Amino acid sequence: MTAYSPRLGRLIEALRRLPGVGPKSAQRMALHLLQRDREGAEYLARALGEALSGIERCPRTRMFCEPAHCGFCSASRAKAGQLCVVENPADLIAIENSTPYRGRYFVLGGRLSPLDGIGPEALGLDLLAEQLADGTVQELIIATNPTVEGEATAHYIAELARARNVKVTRIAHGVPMGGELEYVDGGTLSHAFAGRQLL
Amino acid sequence: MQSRRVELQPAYLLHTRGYGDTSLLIEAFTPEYGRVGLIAKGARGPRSKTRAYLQPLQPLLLSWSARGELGTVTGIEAQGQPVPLAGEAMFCAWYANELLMRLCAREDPHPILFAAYVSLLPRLREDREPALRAFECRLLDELGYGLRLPADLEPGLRYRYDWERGPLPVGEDGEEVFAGSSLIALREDRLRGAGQLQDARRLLRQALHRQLAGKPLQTALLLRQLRQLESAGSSGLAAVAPPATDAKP
Repeated sequence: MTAYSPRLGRLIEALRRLPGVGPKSAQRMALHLLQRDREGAEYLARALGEALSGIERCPRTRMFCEPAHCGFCSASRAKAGQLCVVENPADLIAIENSTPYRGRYFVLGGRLSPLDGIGPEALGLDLLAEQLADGTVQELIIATNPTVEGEATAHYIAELARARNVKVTRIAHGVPMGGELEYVDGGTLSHAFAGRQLL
Repeated sequence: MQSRRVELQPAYLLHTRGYGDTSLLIEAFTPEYGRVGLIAKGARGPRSKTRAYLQPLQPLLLSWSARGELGTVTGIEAQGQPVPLAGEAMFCAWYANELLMRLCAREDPHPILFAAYVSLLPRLREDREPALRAFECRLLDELGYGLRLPADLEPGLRYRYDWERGPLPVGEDGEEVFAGSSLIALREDRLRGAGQLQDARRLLRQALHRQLAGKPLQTALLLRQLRQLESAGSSGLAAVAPPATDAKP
């Protein structure tokens, strides 16, 4: 028989749904919450409930947002006339945190992967096409990942934008900051070399 | 079950998908073991050194150990530069990958087909249509369902293709009729001009369709959508949204 009471067992099972959490860590978390931080546990339960009921996907950016306030759709962002396409919400957050870019976004929620049945519809590209057609976008910045699928997705989106006469740019890829050429993989190095710039 | 170690087998990845938090489930195509399913442990982790190599189009040397159906990758080496394909050529490579994924059983050795795949990839940059047709022919040959294109075809005659008996000369023109010159060009891998390419595509599409049990190829669908966009872009017209598809994996 198991050493867990039914509710404790369920809590541990629930915690194991988090990425990177195995049975041992789940048990530690559950016992910590029950034994040392019951207030924190209540806070967690409340926050989780509120997040689930109050967070939706913005119909324009497809980013998670709260209906009354989507920070990525504001008029000041639209004024720039730039729209940045990223694969995942985490990519949007990374760009927002580390670059001065303050235009609008479009979150695909993946990349084209026909062998997994992920086509243009699953990525909301019809929505993107509508936004490109309404004349508010002067530059479409494609920031999909530099993988084979990411590049193919970028190509498809670029064709979508070209059909609507919108300028398309692609983020550069090259050697990471503080990196050493000796240790950079061949593909990255050849990309960096091909994309060299005038000084 | 007997375990087996394979060392430094030439390979191209056909498909990858995430497995757990940091691992990758890869489908690789190799000459001596055909299509193999392998788990690359830790390949998706933030400190993975092999991540850049684990991409389609990158020539690899793979080592793995297998017990049962899924093996575990024990070594990955890049063998030269990835084939530089961009845009539509990339979508065509995906198409070839889907054909291999759908039609080759795991662990069926296909050295000739592997060689055909290796020579297909660089050709996709220049003459992708004839290259794809030649690859499709070779694929069907290797699966044991090759087209019959006998030596006594006449370039001036027109033929109907019978799946049991091969090409049969016919008098009249029609939908299901192929020019003799097209069939000869297909046999000799020197397809030229729209007419020959169209004949070859029509015949091979039907032949592949028979092997695919009626399930459409996702990549072919995507390629059609891409071409619609491209033609809309070049003619300066606003394209309609890509057609909705009911095709699911």
